[in-house]
Amino acid sequence: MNKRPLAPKFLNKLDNSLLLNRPDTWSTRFHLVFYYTIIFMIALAIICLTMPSDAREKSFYALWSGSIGVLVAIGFIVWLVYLFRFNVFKQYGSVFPGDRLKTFLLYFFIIALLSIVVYIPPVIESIKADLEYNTETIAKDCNRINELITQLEQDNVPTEWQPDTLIRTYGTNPSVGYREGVEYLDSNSFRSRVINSDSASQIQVGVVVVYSFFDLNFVNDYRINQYATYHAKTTKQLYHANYLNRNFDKVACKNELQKLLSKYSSAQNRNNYYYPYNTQYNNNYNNNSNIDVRQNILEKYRMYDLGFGIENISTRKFRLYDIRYSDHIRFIYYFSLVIALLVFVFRHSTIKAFFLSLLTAAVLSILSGLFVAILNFRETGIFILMLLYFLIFLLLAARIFKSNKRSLISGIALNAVVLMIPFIPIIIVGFYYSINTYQYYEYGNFDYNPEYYLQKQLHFTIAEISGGLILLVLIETLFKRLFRLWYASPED
Amino acid sequence: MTISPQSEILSFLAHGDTSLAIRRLLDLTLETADRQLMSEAISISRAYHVLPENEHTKLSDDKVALLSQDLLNKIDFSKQKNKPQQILVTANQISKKYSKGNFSLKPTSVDIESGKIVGVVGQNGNGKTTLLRCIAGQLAIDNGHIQYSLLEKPDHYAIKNHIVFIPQRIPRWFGMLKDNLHFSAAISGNNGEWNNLLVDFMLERFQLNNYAHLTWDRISSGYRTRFEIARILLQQPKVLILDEPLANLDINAQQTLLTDLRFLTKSSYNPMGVILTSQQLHEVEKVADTVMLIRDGVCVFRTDETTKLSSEIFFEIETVSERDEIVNALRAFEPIVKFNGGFYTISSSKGEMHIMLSELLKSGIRVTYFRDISKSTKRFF
Repeated sequence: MNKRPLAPKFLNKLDNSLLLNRPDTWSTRFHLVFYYTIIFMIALAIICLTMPSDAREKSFYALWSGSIGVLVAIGFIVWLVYLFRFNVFKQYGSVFPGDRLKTFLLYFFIIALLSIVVYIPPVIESIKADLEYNTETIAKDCNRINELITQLEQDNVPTEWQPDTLIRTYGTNPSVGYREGVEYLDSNSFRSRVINSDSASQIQVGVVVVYSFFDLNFVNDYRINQYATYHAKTTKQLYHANYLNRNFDKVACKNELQKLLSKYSSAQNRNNYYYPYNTQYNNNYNNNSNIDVRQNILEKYRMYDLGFGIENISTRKFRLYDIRYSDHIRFIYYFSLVIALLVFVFRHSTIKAFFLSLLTAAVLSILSGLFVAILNFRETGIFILMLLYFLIFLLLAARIFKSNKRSLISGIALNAVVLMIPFIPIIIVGFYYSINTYQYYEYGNFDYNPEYYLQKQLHFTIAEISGGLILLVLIETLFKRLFRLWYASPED
Repeated sequence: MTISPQSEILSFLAHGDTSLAIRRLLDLTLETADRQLMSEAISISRAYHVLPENEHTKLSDDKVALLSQDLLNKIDFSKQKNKPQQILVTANQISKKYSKGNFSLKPTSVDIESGKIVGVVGQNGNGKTTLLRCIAGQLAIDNGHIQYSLLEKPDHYAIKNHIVFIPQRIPRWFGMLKDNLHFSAAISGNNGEWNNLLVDFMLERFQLNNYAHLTWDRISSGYRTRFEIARILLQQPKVLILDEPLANLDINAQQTLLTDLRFLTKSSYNPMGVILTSQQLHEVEKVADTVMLIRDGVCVFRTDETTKLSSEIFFEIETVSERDEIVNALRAFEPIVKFNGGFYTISSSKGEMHIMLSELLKSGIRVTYFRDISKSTKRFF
C-alpha cells in the first residue's frame, strides 16, 4: 500500500526497512525529507529553467526566493510535527553508540538541505543569463555601440577640449603655492589622472595640464569589463579611430546600431526615475552645455533602456561570480546548527523544560542588555558575562550526576549548556581579542596591520570549526549521558 | 490437576470456544519462537477472524479444529520448559509525600514476581496510582528502597526500559497504528522479518488486525487500551504496570483482557510480572495472585495474608426482600446487615455460609445473587 503521494516503491521499501531495522533513523524522517526536497528542487529548477524570462528585465528572484522560503518553512513545520510522533529516546528504547550523534547530524543536514532550496531561483536565473549572453560578446557590442554613436554623432558632439591643471603634492604640504582652480593630487592619483587623460601637457615637473574630450563612452559596464578579456575603447581611442574617421556608410551604421540596441534594451525600465550607472559620465567633461548634448544623444538612441538592459543582464550573469561564498556557507551553517540544536534539545527534554530554557535565554538577554547599558560595559564585559552564564549553567547541569530527582532547573541548565557550547570557543577568542585590541591601541598602533587581522581571522575560523567539533564530541560522550540521567529521573 | 496446553486447546475447540482456542494456540506458538509455527497460527487466526463482509471466506469451527490439531502435532512440547519464577521488583517500605497537597503514601511493601499478577484495589484518591508510579520510577520515593533484581546498578533509563507503565489516560498515538507497533518492536531490538512476525502476532493475538491501518482518532477507547497493551508487549518489558486498564472496556473485553494477561504473564517466551489497579474487585481477584487493598495511603489488607483475617463470614446478596425480613431470617446468627447500593452485605461470626444461605431460602427470601466475600477485599468496602 502506498502511504504517501509521489513515493516510489524504493522509498516505501526504504521507509519500511528503516522502521524495522533503524527506528532511530526512521524517526528523523531524513529519507522522506531528502527525497521530497530533491523532488521539489528538481521541479523548481525545471520551472525556473523553462519559464520564459528576459535577462534584460529586472530580476524578481527575491520574490521567488521569498515565496519558496514560505513553502520551505511550511515543509519544515510539517517535518517538526512528524518529529513529535516517534522518539526512541523518550520511549526508553535501546539506544546504541553513535545514535545521538547520527540523529543530530541528520537534523543538521535536513535543515541545511531545506535552506539551500531558496537559492535555486537566483542560481538558475544566473545560469540562464550566462548561457544566453556571452561576456565577450557584450563587451564587444558595447564597444561597437560607442563606435557607431561616435560616428553618427560626429557633427553634434562638442569639439573643444576641456583643460585641467594638476599639481603633484608631496606629503601634506604642496611644494607649489596654492592656486585657484587647480587640483592638488598625491603622486598615485596624479599619475593615474595623467595616464588616463585624453591628452596631457607638462608645464613643469609635477605640474601637468590634462585635456578631456567629450565622453564618447555612451555605454560602459564596469562589471562586463571586469570579467571580459576584450578591452573596450577609451574616449581617446574612439576619438582617433572613429570620431576623426569621416569615411563610413551612415545608413549601414544606423541599421547596425538599431540591431544592437534592440538586442540589449530593456522594455520595462523606461519610466525609471534614475539613470543606469553605465550611461553616466566617466570623465571631467561635464559643463552644463555638454551635459545637455550628452543627454540629447542618450535620449535619441534610448540609451537608458539599453543601460538598464545591460545592467540587468550583468546583475544576473555575474551573481554567481560576485557572491561571497563564505558568507552564505556561514549563514547556512549557523542557521542549520541553531535549528538542529533546538530540535535536538527538544527531542531530549521535556516540553516544559524546553520552553522555559527559551524563556530563560530571552530574560537573560534582556537583563544582560540592561547591565551593558547601565554599567557601560565594553566588548570584554559582554564576553565575561556570557562566559559567566555558561559556567553557572554548567555547574547546575553537573548536579544531574548526583541528583536522584528530575529538577527543572538542572534541565534548563543542561539545555542552555548544549545550546551554548558551539559558540564558547568563539566567545573565548572574542574575549582574548577584545583585551588584546585595547592593549594594541594603547601602544599607539592605530595603523592597519594586515598580519594582525589575518591572525585574528584565522583564530576565529579555528574557533568556529572547533566549536562544532566540540559539540559533536560532547553529544556522544557527555550530553547523551546527562540527558539520559535527567530525562529518566523520577519527578518529585 | 494441571491441564496440558494441548488438552486445554482441544477442550476449548470441543466446546465451541474457537476464538479462545486460537488465542491460546497463538500463545503456544510464540513460546516455541518458531517462525513457521507462528506464521501458521497467524494464518489460522486471520482466516477465522474475518470482517463481516467477508463472512463467506471465514474458516468453519471444524476446519479450525482440524488445522489446530495439525499445528499442535507439530509443536514439540518436550522442548518447552517453564522458566523458574523470580522476583523482579522488591519495593520495601516505600513511602511518598507530595510536596504540594496533603496526601501521603505510608510505608508499603510489595514484591512483583515473574508470572504473577498483583492487583491493587481501593477507592479513588487513596494512593493506588502513587504506589504504581513509585514502582515504575516515575515518582521519587521519600523513604524505603526499591530493588530491581534483574538489573545491575541500573540508572532510571534502564529501569524504565525494564518496567513499563500504562497510565489510565493513554497518551495519544500519532500516525498509522501499525507503524507504532513496528516502531515499538524495533526499539526493543526486534528487527527485520522477526519484527513483522511479532507485530502480526500481536495484531492477531488481540484481534486488532482489522484496525491496524487506522489512526488513533478512528478507534474506540477500548481498542486504544488493547493497542497500547499490544504495543507495550512488543517492547517485551519484564514488569508491566497498568493503571485502571479495565476502565475503558466493556464486560466482555474486561474478561478477555484479564484472561490474556493471565496467559501472557505466564508465557515462557517473555514471563512478566504484572501489577495493576482496578475498581473491578471481583474481576481482579479472579486473575490476581495477590490483591492489595489500599486505604488512605496504607495497605490495609492483602489476599495472601488471609490468616490475619478474623473468622467472620461475609457475603453479599441481592433480593427484593426488606432488610427486616433478612434480619429475622438470620436472627440466630446475630448478623450485621448493611444495605450497599442494591446489595445487602451480611456478616456474622456465629454461622456458616451455606447454613445461613439455606435459612434465607427457607424463609422465602428470593435471592437473585449471592457472593462469598469473606476472603475478598470487598468486605472492607
